[in-house]
Amino acid sequence: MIAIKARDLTRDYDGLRAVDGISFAVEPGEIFGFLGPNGAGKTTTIRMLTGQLRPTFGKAWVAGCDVVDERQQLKPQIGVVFDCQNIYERLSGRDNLLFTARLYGVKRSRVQKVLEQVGLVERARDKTQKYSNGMKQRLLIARALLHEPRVLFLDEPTRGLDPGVARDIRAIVAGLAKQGVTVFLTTHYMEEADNLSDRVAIIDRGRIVAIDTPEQLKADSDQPDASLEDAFINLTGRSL
Amino acid sequence: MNARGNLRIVWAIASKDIVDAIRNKTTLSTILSVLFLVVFYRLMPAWESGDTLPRLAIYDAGGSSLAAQLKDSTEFDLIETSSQENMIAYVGNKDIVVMGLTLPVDFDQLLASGEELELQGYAVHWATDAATAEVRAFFEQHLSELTGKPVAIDIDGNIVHTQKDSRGFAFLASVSFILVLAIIGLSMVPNLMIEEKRARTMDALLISPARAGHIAVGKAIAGLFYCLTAAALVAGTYTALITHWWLAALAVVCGSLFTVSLGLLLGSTLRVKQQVMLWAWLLLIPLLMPVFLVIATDLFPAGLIAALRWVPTVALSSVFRVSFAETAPLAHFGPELALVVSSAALALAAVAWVVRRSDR
Ligand SMILES: Nc1ncnc2c1ncn2[C@@H]1O[C@H](COP(=O)(O)OP(=O)(O)OP(=O)(O)O)[C@@H](O)[C@H]1O
Ligand SMILES: [Mg+2]
Repeated sequence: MIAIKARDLTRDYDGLRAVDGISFAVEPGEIFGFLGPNGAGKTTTIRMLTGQLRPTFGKAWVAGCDVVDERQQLKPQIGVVFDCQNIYERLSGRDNLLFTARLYGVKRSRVQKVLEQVGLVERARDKTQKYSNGMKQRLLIARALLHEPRVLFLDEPTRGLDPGVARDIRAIVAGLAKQGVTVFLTTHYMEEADNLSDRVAIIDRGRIVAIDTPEQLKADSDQPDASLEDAFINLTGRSL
Repeated sequence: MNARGNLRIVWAIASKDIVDAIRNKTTLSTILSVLFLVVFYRLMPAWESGDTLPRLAIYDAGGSSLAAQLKDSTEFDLIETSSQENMIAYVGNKDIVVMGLTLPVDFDQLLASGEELELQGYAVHWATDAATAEVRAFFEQHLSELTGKPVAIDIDGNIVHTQKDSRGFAFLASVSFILVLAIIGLSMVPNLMIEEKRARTMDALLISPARAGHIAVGKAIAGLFYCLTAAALVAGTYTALITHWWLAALAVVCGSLFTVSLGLLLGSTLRVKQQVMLWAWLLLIPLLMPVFLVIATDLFPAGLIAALRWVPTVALSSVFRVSFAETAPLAHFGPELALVVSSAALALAAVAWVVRRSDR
């Protein structure tokens, strides 16, 4: 079964076309990078694929569920790391996860597992108010993994993090893909798309301008030894 | 989703919010300030009686000579009433313990006869035995001094019960309940929802198996929990007043349902805290003002007073006062309670409509 499939997916915000008829498919176990500048429509796409936002036009299926008509069936299949750190600041990391576990009807023992998976065991009982951005990001990932989703959506998971922390986060994501989780990752970092993704879609002003492996995208660029950035400039006519 | 799943999600949200509300500065300060206000209210009559003179309300049936003497006393205040009923009404409508006294038609003869005087005295039902004994002893002593012979005031069987339209203590108590329920329901519940929207934890809730309906019910339970707890505290300070606990409890439950539903409506339609503050006040004013206005029967035209009785909080406050009264026949509280319940149902229907729209 295809993990994610979008057909002509479109979203307007009062006259502004944020996402403009995009179509693509993601295979199970793939890390799919969605690369684009600010305002390209990355978050809007994730919100549609996760059932948070109705498409103005077009259709999408995730883990075999129609994202509009089968929203409730879709929910246990997906995990989302949002583009903001939306956790309960007055609760500890562990209590945040216990709450989510109850929502999903997941065993409490899973909480300890995901805390280990993201390396947050030692600070799990601290209020999240006291967490660094990196720790909050780990907690967000832990929360998204709690119910063992088949497809994980990450919206710019390393934005604003120190290079070292960003590297740790990428390592966690790479590990997940090895376990067979499909990853849909948006980013505006070239290296992230390049190093982490099996395939990359370049999105600009709501349209997909290219989809391919990072290697092929670079090869398609006119220059020899081109970076993904060169490929991007070549395709969109501007730098990221 | 099965019933157990629904229950699990609703309870997860409700229990999180019940714990979180006391850690949240906004909701905690709401709860504490309204409770403070009410306790303040409750203690005010006590302070007042501390620096005002004891009060005696008499009905002087035979135009006795004693009444004129009583009037001159500087040790207590005297209120003369024109009938037995008015005397009893006066006693029941005060927020302090007033001694009511009937001077019989043949009072002057009795006085001349040289026998010990036994007078019928009246006191409110909510006064503690100690308070009643104190005013009784006070007036027995003063009347003995004035008449120069032993006076006994008999209050057995002369307990004055407050009524549905009583003012004074019964009114203050009913207002306290209304204040607590209205303020907690209308400001805490929307704050719980707004907070989730602000922190965008609402998005995380909505991608989980929770639906908008689960969230609304979970928040409503948290709101009801705090309304009921606060109302129980208020009731704890009015134990002597409440005679029909079942009716007081019913009024608290129905009243909480009403205010929590309004709170849910605000929380599910509004997005920012400032809007909630504004709308909570815009609703609190028309809900609370009429409760006070309806007792000013001599200030406003009868038509206006009658119209104000349709305000759910006004109806609710009178149900509370029926729960303090001697008897609570259905006819005294049924229509009012029905009004409160149907207003709550209306508000809940509006919430369901808003929630269903957002769930699509
Ligand atoms: N709720 C909204 N109402 C109106 N316009 C919106 C809304 N959300 C997004 N937009 C607009 O839609 C376009 C795409 O936004 P989107 O957030 O999807 O971009 P993005 O690729 O995620 O950008 P970023 O890198 O800044 O997160 C932008 O022009 C944005 O201003
Ligand atoms: Mg974005």
